[in-house]
Amino acid sequence: MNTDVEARLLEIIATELQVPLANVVRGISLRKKLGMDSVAAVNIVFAVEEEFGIRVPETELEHVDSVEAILALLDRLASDAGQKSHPFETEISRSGRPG
Amino acid sequence: MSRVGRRYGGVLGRITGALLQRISRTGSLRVASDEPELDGQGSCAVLAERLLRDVDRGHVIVPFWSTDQLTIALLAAERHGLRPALSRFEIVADDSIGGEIMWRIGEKFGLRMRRIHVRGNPSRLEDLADWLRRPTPFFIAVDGGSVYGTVPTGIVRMAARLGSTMWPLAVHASRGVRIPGLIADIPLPRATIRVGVSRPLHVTRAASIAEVTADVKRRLDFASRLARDESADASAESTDGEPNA
Repeated sequence: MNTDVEARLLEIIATELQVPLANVVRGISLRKKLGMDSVAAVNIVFAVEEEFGIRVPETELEHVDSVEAILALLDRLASDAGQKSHPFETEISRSGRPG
Repeated sequence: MSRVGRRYGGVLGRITGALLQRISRTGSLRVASDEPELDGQGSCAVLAERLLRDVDRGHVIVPFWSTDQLTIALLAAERHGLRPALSRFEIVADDSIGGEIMWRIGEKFGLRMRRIHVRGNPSRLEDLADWLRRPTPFFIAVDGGSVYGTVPTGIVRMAARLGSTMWPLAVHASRGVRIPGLIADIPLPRATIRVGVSRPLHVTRAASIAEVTADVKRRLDFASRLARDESADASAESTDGEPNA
């Protein structure tokens, strides 16, 4: 996974959970360690959708509990979309928000 | 919820709904509030006007404690003046036994109900996502399915996302009973209804969730004391000014 995508994701999580960026790391449960409630999970997904220009199906929301899980979800959604090149590398090479 | 639980909740809800409907036709109502415009009113008509005004401007949430979730249905009676506002609001009920009771009572009173799954059910996230994409103003027992008397952060995050105005509300009947196993009071005939309303608070996207959560709890406790006519305590602990929202 592109490191810039991960950096942007960490910022989204920190903003939505109102915690310092340094606290958002791989390997922790966002629910148990950072107090992510159901609405925060939905807010994170909405922000991810807006940031990366993708649509996350509601059925995927239950998997949103760690940085790794969200990155894997993004990867899978990109693969499902059938894009040959890595979608986020393409998006990040453009300035501004992907369309 | 199991089929037995649903049936139990349904039966209890229909019985309670019929009882509440009967009680709502009698008895007086008094509003107590730190909003001068509302305080001392003999009906909820002015409160309804204020709610409708805020709904026209943006999103509105009316939080209350679970202990009031049955008594609050009394306000649906035409004579109490809140009906015009209720037609624009949804009443949230989860799929617990308590939620099933609420649902049946809501049906009885012709209220607009919204069903969500209980906390911990993965489908709840789908409910919330769908709701946040198409938000509607609503009344909610904030501590339902949670620790009673606490405000979960989720409802405040929702308010922050939607830029909601929150109107903490409490309703108390002078005569009531509590069924073992149920947190909510059931009012009895000839009860006097007392409505406690805290000043509204507007929650912005940048609001501190922790601070607003604490403030909503303070205001709900304050409204509860007003509704229970514990005026001396209520004024002593009244919140000052707007929250950090």
